[in-house]
Amino acid sequence: MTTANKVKSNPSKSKLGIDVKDLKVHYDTPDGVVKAVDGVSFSLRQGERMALVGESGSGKSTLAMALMRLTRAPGRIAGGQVIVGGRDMLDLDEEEMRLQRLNEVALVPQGAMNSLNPVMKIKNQLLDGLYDHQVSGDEKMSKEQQVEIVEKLLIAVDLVPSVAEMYPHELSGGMKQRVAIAIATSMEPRVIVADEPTSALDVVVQRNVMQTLGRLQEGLHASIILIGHDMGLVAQFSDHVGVMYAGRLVEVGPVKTVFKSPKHPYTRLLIKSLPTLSNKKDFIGIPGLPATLLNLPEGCAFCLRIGKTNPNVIPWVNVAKDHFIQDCKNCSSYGK
Amino acid sequence: MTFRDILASIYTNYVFRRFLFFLLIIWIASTAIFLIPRLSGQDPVKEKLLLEAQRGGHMQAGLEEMAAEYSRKFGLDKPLIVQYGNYMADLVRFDFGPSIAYFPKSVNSLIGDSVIWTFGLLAVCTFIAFFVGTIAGALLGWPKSPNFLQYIFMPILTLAAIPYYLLALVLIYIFAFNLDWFPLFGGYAVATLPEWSFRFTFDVIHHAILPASSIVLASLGFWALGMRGMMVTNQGEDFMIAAEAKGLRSIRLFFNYAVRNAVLPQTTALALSLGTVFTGSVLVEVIFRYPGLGNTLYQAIKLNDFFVIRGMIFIVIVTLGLATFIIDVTYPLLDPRVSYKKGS
Ligand SMILES: Nc1ncnc2c1ncn2[C@@H]1O[C@H](COP(=O)(O)OP(=O)(O)O)[C@@H](O)[C@H]1O
Ligand code: SF4
Ligand SMILES: [Mg+2]
Repeated sequence: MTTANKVKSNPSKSKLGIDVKDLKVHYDTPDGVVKAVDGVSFSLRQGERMALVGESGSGKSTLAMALMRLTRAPGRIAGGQVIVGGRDMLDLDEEEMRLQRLNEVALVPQGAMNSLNPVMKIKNQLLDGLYDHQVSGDEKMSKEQQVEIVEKLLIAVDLVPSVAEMYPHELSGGMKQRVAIAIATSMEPRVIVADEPTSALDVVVQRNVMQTLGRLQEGLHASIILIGHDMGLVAQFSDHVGVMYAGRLVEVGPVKTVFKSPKHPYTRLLIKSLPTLSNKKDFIGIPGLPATLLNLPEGCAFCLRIGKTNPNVIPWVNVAKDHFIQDCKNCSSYGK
Repeated sequence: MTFRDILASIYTNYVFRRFLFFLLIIWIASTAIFLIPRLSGQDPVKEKLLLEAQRGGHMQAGLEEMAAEYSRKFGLDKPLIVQYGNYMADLVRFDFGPSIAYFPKSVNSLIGDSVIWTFGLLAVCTFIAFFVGTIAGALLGWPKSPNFLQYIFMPILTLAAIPYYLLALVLIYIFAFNLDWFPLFGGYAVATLPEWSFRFTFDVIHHAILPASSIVLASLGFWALGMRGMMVTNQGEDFMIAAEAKGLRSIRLFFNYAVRNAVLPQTTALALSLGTVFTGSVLVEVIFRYPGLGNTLYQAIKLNDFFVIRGMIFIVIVTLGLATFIIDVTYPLLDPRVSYKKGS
């Protein structure tokens, strides 16, 4: 495809896809600082899939935007590192960062219903990202090349080539999301961030679109961060799961391990609250209200929710291979 | 038939339907203009003539002749339906009858004399204000714009809060009265007659600058604020965030994504504003004694010149209808979501 134009920094030197270290994103509001992402660390190898789950307001979208370095005022990235391809993206200048987007890190946006430019034909929305990443000195694409690329991208996401000439309003929600996936994968990025990519679609379409996304990601051997409030769905398509609570990752581990023996009390409650075929009737909610992220105390926010206090800084504990939790043994038996 | 042909035929159909709608509006409006004065039970012609007769002024001599002319022309003795038929027949031929105040001059020639002045002044001013204001608003509503633009454009925006006739008075006071850079009033120097010459053209432009400035300055803010608002709204749209995530160049984000979408409501407003181009600035024309339609209308109202007023109202309706028709026909080309579908 456009590989001729691509400048992949540090090509496949490490197997590491993305390495996030102590990332902090704060919103400066009139009422104080909202620590929406507060010291999040995780890493993914190439080709790995991580589901990021947590209640609404736990900071998932804020994290996703920070991974693209698209945090907007009143938000700001208050610290940490996002290392992709051996470079900390938070250190790049604006133009370098622009070139990283789509080429190294790509976004499949939330609410794909409106994520396409309503007055632009699909083919142009597939191509303009490629144009703006062409290394200077490269001649423009020929008409035949354009048609060929667009057709290839559309077929890869199971759309017919005639979609190229259509406008977004002529497509169904699922088709629009497929176009969004085609755009996100058009430059074969190293990392894909998908923020609730199917939340606006009905269940059958959700599954199909997820399969397409998964197939492409596998083909590209890209790392993918799959955000969803529906733990059941995203976990099915992932090999790792990260659980977020009040701006913090409280547990990260392989999907199977976490589901079989969740270690953090919040994860336990989250899993218990999932509706299953056997216990539809006695649905267990999570007690209390989600934490407000304003002026959060140091230490564990979840303790406050379950009526305890714990002012200590919570250690990050490795409980098994690739399996980490925030744990201070204060209430780890809660919800068992 | 190819896909293109089908589209084309739907389009022509759509245009045709819109045109019928345009004619319908004009017909309803003209009927209203015909009926409303008659519902009031008063006859503006008779009243005007009576008033002049009572004054016993210089019009006395032509009074009988005029009354006869009107009775004959409008068949005021005939049944309403016949009067209506005659009225519509006149309208179709764009014949608005004679002026009362300037009898026997026709309404057509009165309007014809002034229309070019108004159209020249206002159409040009509207376009200038639209383009400058829209560009200013686009830059003001763009987060990556350099800060100094705020300092340049913000004072201009505050002018939007000042009524244009006040602005006109201020401009006259400063630039015509105090500095004497521009003439105080008129469309051209008093001693000259309109002709196509370099000198006359220069004179016209010299006379037009102050009225044009007051119209442009006063309406600039309207366009700029509207555009800025749309730019800011668009900034929060999903498609703008997604576009930024594509790593597009700022210039493409600005033009093809932000401006392209923000300008849609602006064009609708432009067409509507052009629809009122003939009467939109009566006050400016009056203040500058500009020989345009607004001034003619003002004089007609002062002199109770019913047929001139009626002719003007008709022209306003036709231009507004035409402007709406033009939006309807061109808007689908700008916004693919509004399609040439049946019934739309
Ligand atoms: N623009 C903003 N200004 C202030 N606070 C914000 C803003 N956007 C998000 N937040 C706060 O950040 C927290 C995380 O939001 P978000 O990342 O959207 O969560 P999620 O995607 O998990 O639902 C929320 O509690 C919200 O109050
Ligand atoms: S107090 Fe400790 S064990 Fe309990 S929820 Fe908080 S971090 Fe976990
Ligand atoms: Mg979200």
